[in-house]
Amino acid sequence: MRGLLWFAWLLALPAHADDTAQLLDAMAKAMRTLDYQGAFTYQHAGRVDTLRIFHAGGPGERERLISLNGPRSELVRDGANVTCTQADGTTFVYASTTGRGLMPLVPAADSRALDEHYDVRRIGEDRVAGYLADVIDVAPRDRLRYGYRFWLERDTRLLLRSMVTDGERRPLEQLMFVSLDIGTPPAEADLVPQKRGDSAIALAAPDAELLVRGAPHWQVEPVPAGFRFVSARRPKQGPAGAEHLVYSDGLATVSIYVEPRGDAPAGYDTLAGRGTVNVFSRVLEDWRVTVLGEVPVATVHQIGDGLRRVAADN
Amino acid sequence: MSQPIQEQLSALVDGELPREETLFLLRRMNQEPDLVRCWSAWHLVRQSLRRQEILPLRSDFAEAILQRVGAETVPAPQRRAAWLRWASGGAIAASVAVVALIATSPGKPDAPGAGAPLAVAAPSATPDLNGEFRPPLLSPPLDAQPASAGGFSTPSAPIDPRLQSYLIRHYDAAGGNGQAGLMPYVLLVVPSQQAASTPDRTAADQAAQRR
Repeated sequence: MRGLLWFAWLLALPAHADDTAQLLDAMAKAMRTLDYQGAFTYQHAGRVDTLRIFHAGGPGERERLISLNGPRSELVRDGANVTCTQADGTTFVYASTTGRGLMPLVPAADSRALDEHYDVRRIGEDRVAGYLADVIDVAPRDRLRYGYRFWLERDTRLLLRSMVTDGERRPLEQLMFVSLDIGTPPAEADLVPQKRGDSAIALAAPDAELLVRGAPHWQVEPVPAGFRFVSARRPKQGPAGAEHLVYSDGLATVSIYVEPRGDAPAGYDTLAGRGTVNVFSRVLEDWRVTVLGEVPVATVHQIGDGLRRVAADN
Repeated sequence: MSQPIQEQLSALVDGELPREETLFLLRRMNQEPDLVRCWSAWHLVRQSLRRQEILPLRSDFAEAILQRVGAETVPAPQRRAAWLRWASGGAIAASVAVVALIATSPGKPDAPGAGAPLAVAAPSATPDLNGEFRPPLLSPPLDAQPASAGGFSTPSAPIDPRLQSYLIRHYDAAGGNGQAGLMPYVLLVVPSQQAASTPDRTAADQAAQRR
Protein backbone atom coordinates (compact mmCIF):
# COMPACT_ATOMS: atom_id res chain seq x y z
CA MET A 1 0.00 0.00 0.00
CA ARG A 2 2.78 2.36 0.94
CA GLY A 3 4.55 1.52 -2.27
CA LEU A 4 1.41 2.29 -4.18
CA LEU A 5 1.06 5.71 -2.53
CA TRP A 6 4.68 6.44 -3.27
CA PHE A 7 4.10 5.47 -6.85
CA ALA A 8 0.98 7.65 -7.10
CA TRP A 9 2.94 10.58 -5.68
CA LEU A 10 5.66 10.03 -8.24
CA LEU A 11 3.07 10.04 -11.00
CA ALA A 12 1.49 13.29 -9.85
CA LEU A 13 4.81 15.02 -9.46
CA PRO A 14 5.67 17.28 -12.38
CA ALA A 15 9.07 16.29 -13.62
CA HIS A 16 11.85 18.73 -12.83
CA ALA A 17 13.34 20.77 -15.63
CA ASP A 18 16.56 18.77 -15.40
CA ASP A 19 14.72 15.47 -15.32
CA THR A 20 12.61 16.30 -18.31
CA ALA A 21 15.56 17.51 -20.33
CA GLN A 22 17.36 14.32 -19.32
CA LEU A 23 14.42 12.23 -20.42
CA LEU A 24 14.18 13.91 -23.81
CA ASP A 25 17.95 13.78 -24.22
CA ALA A 26 17.95 10.11 -23.34
CA MET A 27 15.26 9.53 -25.92
CA ALA A 28 17.05 11.41 -28.70
CA LYS A 29 20.29 9.63 -27.80
CA ALA A 30 18.63 6.21 -27.78
CA MET A 31 17.13 6.88 -31.22
CA ARG A 32 20.60 7.57 -32.61
CA THR A 33 22.91 5.24 -30.74
CA LEU A 34 20.93 2.01 -30.49
CA ASP A 35 20.56 -0.78 -33.02
CA TYR A 36 16.95 -1.47 -33.77
CA GLN A 37 14.66 -2.61 -36.54
CA GLY A 38 10.94 -2.81 -36.79
CA ALA A 39 7.73 -1.67 -38.40
CA PHE A 40 5.61 1.26 -37.37
CA THR A 41 2.42 2.98 -38.35
CA TYR A 42 2.31 6.68 -39.14
CA GLN A 43 -1.10 8.25 -38.81
CA HIS A 44 -1.60 11.71 -40.24
CA ALA A 45 -4.23 13.81 -42.02
CA GLY A 46 -6.87 11.12 -41.73
CA ARG A 47 -4.79 8.33 -43.16
CA VAL A 48 -2.48 5.61 -41.93
CA ASP A 49 0.80 4.55 -43.50
CA THR A 50 3.10 1.75 -42.50
CA LEU A 51 6.86 1.97 -42.66
CA ARG A 52 9.79 -0.22 -41.92
CA ILE A 53 12.95 1.00 -40.28
CA PHE A 54 16.44 -0.45 -39.97
CA HIS A 55 18.81 1.45 -37.74
CA ALA A 56 22.42 0.82 -36.87
CA GLY A 57 23.56 3.17 -34.12
CA GLY A 58 26.94 4.34 -32.98
CA PRO A 59 29.49 6.72 -34.48
CA GLY A 60 28.74 5.75 -38.10
CA GLU A 61 25.01 5.90 -37.75
CA ARG A 62 23.10 4.27 -40.59
CA GLU A 63 19.43 4.09 -41.23
CA ARG A 64 16.96 2.90 -43.84
CA LEU A 65 13.29 3.78 -44.05
CA ILE A 66 10.92 2.01 -46.44
CA SER A 67 7.26 2.67 -47.11
CA LEU A 68 5.29 -0.55 -46.92
CA ASN A 69 2.06 0.67 -48.48
CA GLY A 70 1.36 2.71 -51.56
CA PRO A 71 4.10 3.43 -54.09
CA ARG A 72 7.45 2.21 -52.89
CA SER A 73 9.84 4.86 -51.74
CA GLU A 74 12.78 4.61 -49.42
CA LEU A 75 15.43 6.66 -47.74
CA VAL A 76 18.89 5.57 -46.72
CA ARG A 77 21.05 7.60 -44.39
CA ASP A 78 24.65 6.51 -44.29
CA GLY A 79 26.62 8.70 -41.95
CA ALA A 80 26.56 12.09 -43.62
CA ASN A 81 24.77 11.10 -46.82
CA VAL A 82 21.05 10.92 -47.35
CA THR A 83 19.78 9.01 -50.39
CA CYS A 84 16.10 9.43 -51.06
CA THR A 85 14.38 7.31 -53.70
CA GLN A 86 10.88 8.43 -54.59
CA ALA A 87 8.10 6.26 -55.95
CA ASP A 88 8.81 7.23 -59.56
CA GLY A 89 12.44 6.14 -59.32
CA THR A 90 14.04 9.57 -59.01
CA THR A 91 16.84 9.48 -56.51
CA PHE A 92 18.41 12.35 -54.64
CA VAL A 93 21.66 12.15 -52.81
CA TYR A 94 22.30 14.80 -50.25
CA ALA A 95 25.54 15.35 -48.38
CA SER A 96 25.00 16.54 -44.84
CA THR A 97 26.62 19.70 -43.53
CA THR A 98 26.41 18.77 -39.88
CA GLY A 99 27.83 15.31 -40.32
CA ARG A 100 25.33 14.17 -37.81
CA GLY A 101 26.08 10.60 -36.94
CA LEU A 102 29.79 11.05 -37.56
CA MET A 103 30.15 13.55 -34.75
CA PRO A 104 30.01 12.89 -31.03
CA LEU A 105 26.39 12.93 -30.02
CA VAL A 106 25.66 16.17 -28.24
CA PRO A 107 22.30 16.67 -26.62
CA ALA A 108 20.71 19.79 -27.99
CA ALA A 109 17.68 20.31 -25.80
CA ASP A 110 18.09 23.30 -23.49
CA SER A 111 16.34 22.37 -20.27
CA ARG A 112 15.55 25.90 -19.09
CA ALA A 113 14.12 27.11 -22.38
CA LEU A 114 12.15 23.90 -22.57
CA ASP A 115 10.58 24.40 -19.17
CA GLU A 116 9.62 27.97 -20.01
CA HIS A 117 7.49 26.99 -22.98
CA TYR A 118 6.49 23.42 -22.29
CA ASP A 119 5.05 21.60 -19.32
CA VAL A 120 6.71 18.18 -19.29
CA ARG A 121 5.52 15.43 -17.00
CA ARG A 122 5.33 11.69 -16.75
CA ILE A 123 1.68 10.76 -16.86
CA GLY A 124 1.68 7.00 -16.63
CA GLU A 125 2.78 3.77 -18.18
CA ASP A 126 1.65 1.70 -21.10
CA ARG A 127 2.71 -1.18 -23.30
CA VAL A 128 3.71 -0.69 -26.93
CA ALA A 129 4.93 -3.35 -29.38
CA GLY A 130 5.33 -5.67 -26.42
CA TYR A 131 7.58 -3.32 -24.45
CA LEU A 132 6.72 -1.55 -21.20
CA ALA A 133 6.71 2.18 -21.74
CA ASP A 134 6.69 5.35 -19.65
CA VAL A 135 4.32 7.95 -21.06
CA ILE A 136 5.70 11.49 -21.10
CA ASP A 137 3.38 14.39 -21.82
CA VAL A 138 4.79 17.63 -23.23
CA ALA A 139 2.15 20.36 -23.11
CA PRO A 140 2.86 23.70 -24.81
CA ARG A 141 2.35 26.81 -22.67
CA ASP A 142 1.16 28.88 -25.66
CA ARG A 143 -0.19 28.42 -29.18
CA LEU A 144 3.09 29.00 -30.95
CA ARG A 145 4.12 25.38 -30.69
CA TYR A 146 2.65 21.89 -30.73
CA GLY A 147 2.25 19.52 -27.83
CA TYR A 148 3.72 16.04 -27.75
CA ARG A 149 3.23 12.75 -26.03
CA PHE A 150 6.05 10.24 -25.98
CA TRP A 151 6.00 6.57 -25.06
CA LEU A 152 9.56 5.68 -24.03
CA GLU A 153 10.80 2.16 -23.55
CA ARG A 154 11.51 1.70 -19.87
CA ASP A 155 15.13 0.54 -20.04
CA THR A 156 16.56 1.97 -23.24
CA ARG A 157 14.38 5.12 -23.50
CA LEU A 158 13.79 4.31 -27.15
CA LEU A 159 10.73 6.04 -28.58
CA LEU A 160 7.99 3.45 -29.08
CA ARG A 161 5.12 5.75 -29.89
CA SER A 162 4.71 9.48 -30.32
CA MET A 163 1.82 11.82 -30.81
CA VAL A 164 1.84 15.46 -31.90
CA THR A 165 -1.12 17.52 -30.70
CA ASP A 166 -2.49 20.96 -31.55
CA GLY A 167 -3.49 23.78 -29.17
CA GLU A 168 -6.61 21.89 -28.06
CA ARG A 169 -4.54 18.75 -27.53
CA ARG A 170 -6.17 17.04 -30.47
CA PRO A 171 -3.81 14.56 -32.13
CA LEU A 172 -2.38 15.78 -35.44
CA GLU A 173 -0.13 12.86 -36.17
CA GLN A 174 0.85 9.68 -34.49
CA LEU A 175 3.64 7.22 -34.91
CA MET A 176 3.66 3.82 -33.27
CA PHE A 177 5.82 0.74 -33.51
CA VAL A 178 3.87 -2.44 -34.06
CA SER A 179 6.91 -4.68 -34.03
CA LEU A 180 10.33 -3.79 -32.78
CA ASP A 181 13.59 -5.55 -32.13
CA ILE A 182 15.98 -3.55 -29.96
CA GLY A 183 19.66 -4.41 -29.85
CA THR A 184 20.03 -6.57 -32.94
CA PRO A 185 22.21 -4.88 -35.57
CA PRO A 186 20.51 -4.91 -38.98
CA ALA A 187 22.07 -6.99 -41.74
CA GLU A 188 24.27 -5.16 -44.22
CA ALA A 189 21.79 -5.90 -47.03
CA ASP A 190 19.07 -4.13 -45.08
CA LEU A 191 21.01 -0.87 -44.94
CA VAL A 192 21.59 -0.30 -48.65
CA PRO A 193 19.06 0.98 -51.17
CA GLN A 194 17.22 -1.63 -53.16
CA LYS A 195 18.53 -1.91 -56.71
CA ARG A 196 16.04 -0.84 -59.32
CA GLY A 197 16.63 -2.55 -62.63
CA ASP A 198 13.62 -1.08 -64.32
CA SER A 199 14.17 2.63 -64.01
CA ALA A 200 17.05 4.92 -64.73
CA ILE A 201 18.30 6.57 -61.60
CA ALA A 202 18.57 10.32 -61.83
CA LEU A 203 21.20 11.46 -59.44
CA ALA A 204 21.09 14.97 -58.16
CA ALA A 205 22.93 16.73 -55.41
CA PRO A 206 20.54 19.50 -54.54
CA ASP A 207 21.66 22.57 -52.77
CA ALA A 208 24.84 21.61 -50.98
CA GLU A 209 25.32 23.99 -48.06
CA LEU A 210 28.17 25.42 -46.02
CA LEU A 211 27.97 26.53 -42.44
CA VAL A 212 28.13 30.33 -42.03
CA ARG A 213 30.73 31.17 -39.37
CA GLY A 214 30.13 34.90 -39.08
CA ALA A 215 26.96 36.89 -38.61
CA PRO A 216 24.17 35.91 -40.99
CA HIS A 217 22.76 38.36 -43.53
CA TRP A 218 19.27 37.93 -42.19
CA GLN A 219 17.54 37.80 -38.85
CA VAL A 220 14.03 37.52 -37.45
CA GLU A 221 12.89 40.52 -35.41
CA PRO A 222 10.73 40.21 -33.39
CA VAL A 223 11.14 36.48 -33.03
CA PRO A 224 8.17 34.49 -31.62
CA ALA A 225 8.48 33.85 -27.88
CA GLY A 226 10.91 31.10 -27.02
CA PHE A 227 12.56 30.78 -30.41
CA ARG A 228 16.25 31.49 -30.72
CA PHE A 229 18.73 31.58 -33.54
CA VAL A 230 20.61 28.29 -33.78
CA SER A 231 22.69 28.33 -36.95
CA ALA A 232 23.01 29.69 -40.46
CA ARG A 233 24.10 28.00 -43.66
CA ARG A 234 24.61 29.27 -47.16
CA PRO A 235 24.36 27.40 -50.44
CA LYS A 236 27.70 26.46 -52.01
CA GLN A 237 26.56 27.92 -55.30
CA GLY A 238 24.41 30.94 -54.74
CA PRO A 239 24.50 34.71 -54.56
CA ALA A 240 25.58 36.52 -51.42
CA GLY A 241 22.58 36.88 -49.19
CA ALA A 242 21.08 33.49 -49.95
CA GLU A 243 20.90 31.73 -46.61
CA HIS A 244 19.33 28.95 -44.61
CA LEU A 245 18.65 30.04 -41.03
CA VAL A 246 17.60 27.70 -38.24
CA TYR A 247 15.59 28.77 -35.21
CA SER A 248 14.50 26.52 -32.36
CA ASP A 249 12.66 26.68 -29.04
CA GLY A 250 14.57 23.68 -27.73
CA LEU A 251 12.15 21.13 -29.12
CA ALA A 252 10.59 22.41 -32.33
CA THR A 253 12.83 23.60 -35.16
CA VAL A 254 12.08 26.14 -37.90
CA SER A 255 14.13 26.56 -41.07
CA ILE A 256 14.14 29.79 -43.10
CA TYR A 257 15.33 29.59 -46.68
CA VAL A 258 16.24 32.86 -48.39
CA GLU A 259 16.80 32.35 -52.10
CA PRO A 260 16.91 34.54 -55.20
CA ARG A 261 13.39 35.35 -56.23
CA GLY A 262 13.68 33.84 -59.69
CA ASP A 263 10.37 33.79 -61.49
CA ALA A 264 8.20 33.81 -58.37
CA PRO A 265 5.28 36.23 -58.88
CA ALA A 266 5.15 39.40 -56.82
CA GLY A 267 2.12 38.44 -54.75
CA TYR A 268 3.67 35.13 -53.84
CA ASP A 269 2.42 34.44 -50.35
CA THR A 270 1.49 30.85 -49.75
CA LEU A 271 0.91 28.51 -46.90
CA ALA A 272 1.03 24.77 -47.13
CA GLY A 273 1.28 21.91 -44.74
CA ARG A 274 2.44 18.34 -44.80
CA GLY A 275 2.02 16.29 -41.66
CA THR A 276 2.80 18.66 -38.83
CA VAL A 277 5.24 20.55 -41.02
CA ASN A 278 3.93 23.95 -42.06
CA VAL A 279 5.38 26.00 -44.88
CA PHE A 280 5.04 29.74 -45.40
CA SER A 281 6.46 31.43 -48.46
CA ARG A 282 6.64 35.06 -49.54
CA VAL A 283 8.60 37.41 -51.77
CA LEU A 284 10.72 40.04 -50.05
CA GLU A 285 12.16 42.44 -52.61
CA ASP A 286 14.48 40.30 -54.74
CA TRP A 287 14.29 37.28 -52.47
CA ARG A 288 11.99 34.38 -52.03
CA VAL A 289 11.58 33.49 -48.37
CA THR A 290 10.35 30.04 -47.37
CA VAL A 291 9.75 29.23 -43.70
CA LEU A 292 9.29 25.58 -42.81
CA GLY A 293 8.98 23.84 -39.48
CA GLU A 294 7.10 21.51 -37.14
CA VAL A 295 5.17 24.41 -35.64
CA PRO A 296 1.65 25.85 -36.11
CA VAL A 297 0.89 28.08 -39.10
CA ALA A 298 0.86 31.16 -36.85
CA THR A 299 4.50 30.59 -35.96
CA VAL A 300 5.85 30.12 -39.49
CA HIS A 301 3.79 33.17 -40.48
CA GLN A 302 5.24 35.34 -37.69
CA ILE A 303 8.76 34.24 -38.47
CA GLY A 304 8.29 34.90 -42.18
CA ASP A 305 6.90 38.36 -41.47
CA GLY A 306 9.68 39.22 -39.05
CA LEU A 307 12.59 38.38 -41.36
CA ARG A 308 14.91 41.41 -41.95
CA ARG A 309 18.10 41.97 -43.90
CA VAL A 310 20.80 43.02 -41.47
CA ALA A 311 24.02 43.15 -43.46
CA ALA A 312 24.98 44.72 -46.75
CA ASP A 313 26.68 42.68 -49.43
CA ASN A 314 30.11 44.20 -48.98
CA MET B 1 -36.61 -24.00 -62.08
CA SER B 2 -35.62 -21.25 -64.49
CA GLN B 3 -32.31 -19.43 -64.43
CA PRO B 4 -33.68 -15.99 -63.42
CA ILE B 5 -35.53 -17.51 -60.49
CA GLN B 6 -32.37 -19.19 -59.29
CA GLU B 7 -30.52 -15.91 -59.49
CA GLN B 8 -33.28 -14.19 -57.55
CA LEU B 9 -33.17 -16.91 -54.96
CA SER B 10 -29.43 -16.56 -54.63
CA ALA B 11 -29.83 -12.81 -54.19
CA LEU B 12 -32.45 -13.44 -51.53
CA VAL B 13 -30.15 -15.78 -49.64
CA ASP B 14 -27.48 -13.12 -49.76
CA GLY B 15 -29.97 -10.49 -48.70
CA GLU B 16 -29.41 -8.51 -51.87
CA LEU B 17 -32.79 -8.77 -53.54
CA PRO B 18 -34.77 -5.51 -53.90
CA ARG B 19 -38.00 -5.26 -51.94
CA GLU B 20 -40.40 -5.62 -54.87
CA GLU B 21 -38.69 -8.72 -56.20
CA THR B 22 -38.50 -10.19 -52.72
CA LEU B 23 -42.24 -9.91 -52.21
CA PHE B 24 -42.79 -11.42 -55.66
CA LEU B 25 -40.44 -14.29 -54.92
CA LEU B 26 -42.01 -14.98 -51.53
CA ARG B 27 -45.44 -15.21 -53.19
CA ARG B 28 -44.03 -17.60 -55.72
CA MET B 29 -42.37 -19.71 -53.07
CA ASN B 30 -45.75 -20.11 -51.45
CA GLN B 31 -46.90 -21.96 -54.51
CA GLU B 32 -43.73 -23.86 -55.43
CA PRO B 33 -42.40 -26.17 -52.72
CA ASP B 34 -39.30 -26.84 -54.85
CA LEU B 35 -38.26 -23.24 -54.51
CA VAL B 36 -38.57 -23.42 -50.73
CA ARG B 37 -36.49 -26.59 -50.58
CA CYS B 38 -33.85 -24.97 -52.74
CA TRP B 39 -33.86 -21.85 -50.59
CA SER B 40 -33.51 -23.93 -47.43
CA ALA B 41 -30.62 -25.87 -48.87
CA TRP B 42 -28.75 -22.75 -49.93
CA HIS B 43 -29.45 -21.17 -46.62
CA LEU B 44 -28.03 -24.19 -44.84
CA VAL B 45 -24.88 -24.03 -46.95
CA ARG B 46 -24.53 -20.34 -46.22
CA GLN B 47 -24.92 -20.87 -42.52
CA SER B 48 -22.40 -23.70 -42.52
CA LEU B 49 -19.92 -21.63 -44.47
CA ARG B 50 -20.25 -18.81 -42.00
CA ARG B 51 -20.14 -21.25 -39.10
CA GLN B 52 -23.42 -19.98 -37.79
CA GLU B 53 -25.85 -21.93 -35.73
CA ILE B 54 -27.97 -24.00 -38.07
CA LEU B 55 -31.58 -22.88 -37.97
CA PRO B 56 -33.69 -25.00 -40.30
CA LEU B 57 -36.73 -23.21 -41.70
CA ARG B 58 -40.29 -24.32 -41.73
CA SER B 59 -41.58 -24.88 -45.23
CA ASP B 60 -44.34 -22.33 -44.85
CA PHE B 61 -42.05 -19.53 -43.69
CA ALA B 62 -42.75 -17.53 -46.85
CA GLU B 63 -46.43 -17.49 -46.10
CA ALA B 64 -45.76 -16.45 -42.53
CA ILE B 65 -43.62 -13.55 -43.66
CA LEU B 66 -46.16 -12.41 -46.24
CA GLN B 67 -48.92 -12.50 -43.66
CA ARG B 68 -46.95 -10.39 -41.25
CA VAL B 69 -45.94 -7.90 -43.90
CA GLY B 70 -49.59 -7.58 -44.90
CA ALA B 71 -50.74 -7.13 -41.31
CA GLU B 72 -48.24 -4.35 -40.61
CA THR B 73 -49.91 -0.93 -40.43
CA VAL B 74 -47.76 1.80 -41.89
CA PRO B 75 -48.01 5.20 -40.11
CA ALA B 76 -49.47 8.11 -42.06
CA PRO B 77 -46.68 9.85 -44.01
CA GLN B 78 -47.34 13.38 -42.78
CA ARG B 79 -46.90 12.38 -39.15
CA ARG B 80 -43.56 10.73 -39.72
CA ALA B 81 -40.44 12.41 -38.45
CA ALA B 82 -37.56 12.60 -40.88
CA TRP B 83 -35.48 10.09 -39.00
CA LEU B 84 -38.32 7.60 -39.23
CA ARG B 85 -38.36 7.63 -43.01
CA TRP B 86 -36.15 4.61 -43.24
CA ALA B 87 -38.65 2.66 -41.19
CA SER B 88 -41.44 2.92 -43.74
CA GLY B 89 -40.15 0.31 -46.11
CA GLY B 90 -37.52 -2.28 -45.73
CA ALA B 91 -36.81 -1.86 -42.08
CA ILE B 92 -40.27 -2.85 -40.92
CA ALA B 93 -40.44 -5.62 -43.45
CA ALA B 94 -37.02 -6.78 -42.39
CA SER B 95 -37.82 -6.80 -38.72
CA VAL B 96 -41.03 -8.61 -39.49
CA ALA B 97 -39.00 -11.13 -41.43
CA VAL B 98 -36.77 -11.70 -38.46
CA VAL B 99 -39.75 -12.20 -36.19
CA ALA B 100 -41.20 -14.59 -38.71
CA LEU B 101 -37.95 -16.52 -38.93
CA ILE B 102 -37.72 -16.78 -35.19
CA ALA B 103 -41.37 -17.73 -34.86
CA THR B 104 -41.24 -20.31 -37.59
CA SER B 105 -37.98 -21.85 -36.50
CA PRO B 106 -38.90 -25.41 -35.55
CA GLY B 107 -35.58 -26.26 -33.94
CA LYS B 108 -35.95 -24.82 -30.46
CA PRO B 109 -39.24 -23.00 -30.41
CA ASP B 110 -39.12 -21.97 -26.78
CA ALA B 111 -35.44 -21.68 -26.15
CA PRO B 112 -34.58 -18.00 -25.66
CA GLY B 113 -31.03 -18.59 -26.78
CA ALA B 114 -32.09 -19.48 -30.29
CA GLY B 115 -33.94 -16.27 -30.95
CA ALA B 116 -31.80 -13.77 -29.14
CA PRO B 117 -28.91 -13.40 -31.61
CA LEU B 118 -31.31 -12.88 -34.48
CA ALA B 119 -33.15 -10.14 -32.68
CA VAL B 120 -29.88 -8.43 -31.93
CA ALA B 121 -28.75 -8.64 -35.50
CA ALA B 122 -31.84 -6.97 -36.89
CA PRO B 123 -31.51 -3.34 -35.72
CA SER B 124 -27.85 -3.10 -36.61
CA ALA B 125 -28.63 -4.00 -40.18
CA THR B 126 -31.79 -1.99 -40.74
CA PRO B 127 -30.61 1.63 -41.04
CA ASP B 128 -28.41 0.88 -44.02
CA LEU B 129 -30.96 -0.96 -46.05
CA ASN B 130 -33.01 1.90 -47.51
CA GLY B 131 -36.07 -0.02 -48.51
CA GLU B 132 -34.16 -3.16 -49.26
CA PHE B 133 -35.45 -6.36 -47.85
CA ARG B 134 -33.00 -8.80 -46.38
CA PRO B 135 -34.77 -11.92 -45.26
CA PRO B 136 -31.83 -13.85 -43.81
CA LEU B 137 -30.59 -11.04 -41.56
CA LEU B 138 -28.64 -13.59 -39.63
CA SER B 139 -25.38 -11.73 -39.83
CA PRO B 140 -24.80 -8.26 -41.17
CA PRO B 141 -22.23 -8.36 -43.94
CA LEU B 142 -18.67 -8.02 -42.78
CA ASP B 143 -18.12 -5.13 -45.13
CA ALA B 144 -21.09 -3.18 -43.75
CA GLN B 145 -18.80 -0.60 -42.16
CA PRO B 146 -18.16 2.35 -44.45
CA ALA B 147 -14.55 2.79 -45.48
CA SER B 148 -13.29 6.03 -44.02
CA ALA B 149 -12.62 8.83 -46.45
CA GLY B 150 -9.01 9.45 -47.29
CA GLY B 151 -8.02 5.98 -46.26
CA PHE B 152 -6.51 5.22 -49.60
CA SER B 153 -3.33 6.53 -50.99
CA THR B 154 -3.32 8.63 -54.08
CA PRO B 155 -1.50 7.24 -57.09
CA SER B 156 2.22 7.73 -57.20
CA ALA B 157 2.88 11.42 -56.72
CA PRO B 158 6.41 12.19 -55.64
CA ILE B 159 7.07 15.15 -53.41
CA ASP B 160 7.83 18.43 -55.10
CA PRO B 161 11.65 18.39 -55.45
CA ARG B 162 11.92 21.83 -53.89
CA LEU B 163 9.99 20.77 -50.80
CA GLN B 164 12.04 17.59 -50.66
CA SER B 165 15.25 19.56 -50.70
CA TYR B 166 13.89 21.93 -48.03
CA LEU B 167 12.87 19.01 -45.83
CA ILE B 168 16.17 17.18 -46.13
CA ARG B 169 18.16 20.33 -45.36
CA HIS B 170 15.78 21.13 -42.51
CA TYR B 171 16.15 17.72 -40.89
CA ASP B 172 19.88 17.81 -41.40
CA ALA B 173 20.19 21.25 -39.81
CA ALA B 174 17.87 20.32 -36.97
CA GLY B 175 20.12 17.33 -36.35
CA GLY B 176 19.56 15.88 -32.95
CA ASN B 177 17.66 18.98 -32.02
CA GLY B 178 14.60 17.81 -30.15
CA GLN B 179 11.54 16.81 -32.03
CA ALA B 180 12.78 16.88 -35.60
CA GLY B 181 15.43 14.39 -34.59
CA LEU B 182 12.96 11.85 -33.24
CA MET B 183 11.93 10.21 -36.44
CA PRO B 184 12.87 12.62 -39.19
CA TYR B 185 12.57 11.86 -42.85
CA VAL B 186 9.34 9.91 -42.36
CA LEU B 187 7.49 12.53 -44.40
CA LEU B 188 9.84 11.92 -47.31
CA VAL B 189 9.03 8.26 -47.45
CA VAL B 190 5.27 8.03 -46.88
CA PRO B 191 3.14 8.11 -50.02
CA SER B 192 2.06 11.61 -50.96
CA GLN B 193 -1.10 12.58 -49.22
CA GLN B 194 -4.06 14.16 -50.92
CA ALA B 195 -3.82 17.89 -51.27
CA ALA B 196 -7.33 18.12 -49.85
CA SER B 197 -6.05 17.50 -46.38
CA THR B 198 -3.89 20.59 -46.40
CA PRO B 199 -6.50 23.37 -46.40
CA ASP B 200 -8.28 21.74 -43.46
CA ARG B 201 -5.16 21.79 -41.38
CA THR B 202 -4.38 25.31 -42.37
CA ALA B 203 -7.88 26.51 -41.63
CA ALA B 204 -7.81 24.84 -38.22
CA ASP B 205 -4.51 26.43 -37.40
CA GLN B 206 -5.67 29.83 -38.51
CA ALA B 207 -8.76 29.46 -36.35
CA ALA B 208 -6.48 28.65 -33.43
CA GLN B 209 -4.43 31.69 -34.26
CA ARG B 210 -7.44 34.01 -34.14
CA ARG B 211 -8.43 32.88 -30.68
